[in-house]
Amino acid sequence: MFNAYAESLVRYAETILKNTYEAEDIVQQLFVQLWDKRSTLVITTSLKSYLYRAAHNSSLNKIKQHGVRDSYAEYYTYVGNAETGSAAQRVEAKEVNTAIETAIEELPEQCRKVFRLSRFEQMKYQQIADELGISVKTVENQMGKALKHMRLRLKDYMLLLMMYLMNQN
Amino acid sequence: MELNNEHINELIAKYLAGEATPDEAIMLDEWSNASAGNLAYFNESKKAFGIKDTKVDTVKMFSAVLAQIEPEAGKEVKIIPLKLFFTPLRIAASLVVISLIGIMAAIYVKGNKNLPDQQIASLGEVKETRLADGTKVALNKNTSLTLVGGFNGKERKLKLQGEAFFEVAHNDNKPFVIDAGGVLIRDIGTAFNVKANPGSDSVFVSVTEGIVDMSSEANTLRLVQNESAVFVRSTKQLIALNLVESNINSYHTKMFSFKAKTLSEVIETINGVYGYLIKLENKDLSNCRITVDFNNESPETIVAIITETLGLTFHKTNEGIYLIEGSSCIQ
Repeated sequence: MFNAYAESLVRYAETILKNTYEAEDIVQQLFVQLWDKRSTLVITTSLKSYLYRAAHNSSLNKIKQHGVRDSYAEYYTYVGNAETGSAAQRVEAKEVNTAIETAIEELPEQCRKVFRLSRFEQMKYQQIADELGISVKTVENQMGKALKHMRLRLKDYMLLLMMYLMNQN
Repeated sequence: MELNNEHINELIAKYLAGEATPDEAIMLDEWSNASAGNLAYFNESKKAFGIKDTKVDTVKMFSAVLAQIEPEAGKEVKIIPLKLFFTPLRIAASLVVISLIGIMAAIYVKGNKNLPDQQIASLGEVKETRLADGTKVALNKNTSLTLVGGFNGKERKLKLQGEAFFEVAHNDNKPFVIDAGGVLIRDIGTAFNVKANPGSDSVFVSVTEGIVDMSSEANTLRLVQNESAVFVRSTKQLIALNLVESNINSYHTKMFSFKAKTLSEVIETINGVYGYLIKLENKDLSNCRITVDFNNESPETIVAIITETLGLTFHKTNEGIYLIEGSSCIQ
């Protein structure tokens, strides 16, 4: 059971905590507690559902207690990380950053604003909605569109880059 | 999985932004694992979002978990079984048996380690039981009681969802506290009833014997014998009540006392305890008044007494319903 769910739960928790180590910590604790409660626990939904909910709640609680850590910058490739790792990794990181920046500039205005607020200002959807005077549904929609564009552009860019690098040899 | 392009991008974005609900996360994970193409799509999106590629070391995690659950070598493990008292009649449903098995699980004492919470639930029946400290509890239907930390802390703390009557075993060293969602009820003396239904906005406490303190965040109210109060969750008000709901304990004592109450009210109260067995054929009879006491009678006897007192008749239908008939009451 552990092996089946551990990684997915950590991945989910880290999207909320923006930190892989803390996510691992939370999921570890979850399984320890699950073991402790094993004789008296009554789960009315599926085990999967229970685990994901528990991970979600623990992560939110951690944020409530300690606030979002400043080290969330480690989680992203953007800026600052173009300085760590091997030469190849640094080059790649730089390229990805450039690609992302370029792609963002191409987004329609509201789409771009929403994406920046979420991705760079770390604002929650509800906060973005309030700030821009739109509905949360619109925020979800805009984020979806932004991500689609980003993904496609990044693909194009990386392809071009590869072709360029290949031609150099 | 029906996820078209629009939706999948929104879902992935929501997930990567940390906004996905547990159900949405499950949905996305299932979609990603459905095909190599889906997984690649997800990973591209993750990269485009600017998230670093990291490794999750599940092996290391697993060892860490094991380290915390294995008891240290050489520590003694004590097993203390819970004693339960219940009348044979109440064990009818197999559901009740299952929850009993849950309670009868042993409590492991490991040095200073925190004990797990224990749950007692009544489901579709009224359940009477005795806690490890000697306190008698009667749970109304669909009620659950959680013993926080296995009753091993410096307080005897419980969480209540539903309705229960407590006859607390006195212990000066360990106060008896009930968390009813927003309000704490602390026993100073002995017997009282708490109605804390999860869907309801109010928590209702009435004291039969002894003294009880009800505390919200803002203030505390002390209740003595025959007093009751209500805590309103939405406004956080704690209000003392002058009326005494005399039939509040009937669900477990089967004793009722009605003084000049309307027939419809009497029937409603009785039905609330026995199930919807009694009905009035003639709605005009609703407002007939009756003063009567019942002391652990069967539904049939109760109906017989009511009809005799008011000059009415009744018959039992094929479905087991007692239908009260008549054109008017003797008043």
